[in-house]
Amino acid sequence: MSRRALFLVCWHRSMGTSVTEHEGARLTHRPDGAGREADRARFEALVRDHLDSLYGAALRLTRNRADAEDLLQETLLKAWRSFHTFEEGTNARAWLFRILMNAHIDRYRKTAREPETMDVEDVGDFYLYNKVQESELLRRVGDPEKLLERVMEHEVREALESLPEHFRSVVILADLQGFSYREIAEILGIPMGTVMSRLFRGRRLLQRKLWDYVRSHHRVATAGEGAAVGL
Amino acid sequence: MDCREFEAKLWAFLDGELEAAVCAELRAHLEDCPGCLDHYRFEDALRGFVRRCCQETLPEPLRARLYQLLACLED
Repeated sequence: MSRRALFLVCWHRSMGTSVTEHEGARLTHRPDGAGREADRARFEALVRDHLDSLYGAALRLTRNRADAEDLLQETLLKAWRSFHTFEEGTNARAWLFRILMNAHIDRYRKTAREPETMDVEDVGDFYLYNKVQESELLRRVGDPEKLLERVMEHEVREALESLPEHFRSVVILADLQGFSYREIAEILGIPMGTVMSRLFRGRRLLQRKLWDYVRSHHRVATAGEGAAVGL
Repeated sequence: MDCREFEAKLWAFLDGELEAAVCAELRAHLEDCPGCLDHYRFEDALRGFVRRCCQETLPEPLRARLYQLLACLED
C-alpha cells in the first residue's frame, strides 16, 4: 500500500467513515470498546521493538527507500489484521518477519517484469578467505582482515543487494537478522535443506562479489581514498 | 577431523546449528590448527562487518508516520 493510500485509510478512519474494502485493509473485525483498545496497545508494544530490524530487512529486499517504506507499512497493516491469530508468548519477531517476507514476495511477483534468472554463476566452494590467502595481496597487507578495510559500507550493501532474490532473502534472515535455519524455514515456508543450500550458495556469491571489490581497491589504492571501514 | 571437513562445517558451526559433539570436534581441531583458527576468525569478523554495514535505523519521519498508523488502528 502506498503512503498516499495509507494516509487515506487514516483520514477516513479519523473522520469516522467506515473503510472496509481498502486494498485489503479490512480493519473492522476487531472486538469492541475496551477489548479493542487493549488489543491495539498489545500490538503496538509487540511491534515497536522490531521496527528498525524490519526496516533494515525491507531496505535490502526492495533495494530502495520508497518501496521499503511501503513494504513496512503494508507489513504492519497485515500484521494487525492477523493479530488475532498471533499466540501470546510465541516468537513475535519470526511472526512479523513471516508477514514481511510474504508481503515482499507478493509485491515482487506483481512488479517483476521477468523472473530473475536462476542461472547464477557457479561459485563452487568459493571462500573469500582462501582467495585472500592465495593472492599476493596478503604478502603486501599482512593480515587477511586488513584487506577488507578498504571495502566501503555502500559496497557491502550493493554486494548483498546484487544477490538473486532467493539467496538474498535467506542471507538477510540469517546473517543480518540472526534467525536459525528452522526459523527461516518457517518464515519462508521452505524445507530446512533448501534454507541451508540457499544460504551457503548466497554467502559464496556475496563473498565472490566482495572479492571483486577487494581486488579493485587494492589495485587502485591511493593514500587519499575515501572513508574506509575497519573491522 | 581434517581441515577440509572443518571448512565444510565452519558456517554451520558459526551459525550455532551443530550438535554439541560435533562442536567439540571442531573446537578440538581449532586448538591444533592455526590455519583453520585464522579462517574461523576471518569468517566471524566478515559476518560482523557485513551486519554493521547493513545496520539501519528507521528515519524519524517514517517512524512518526508508522506510530500514527498504529494510533489509527485503535478505533
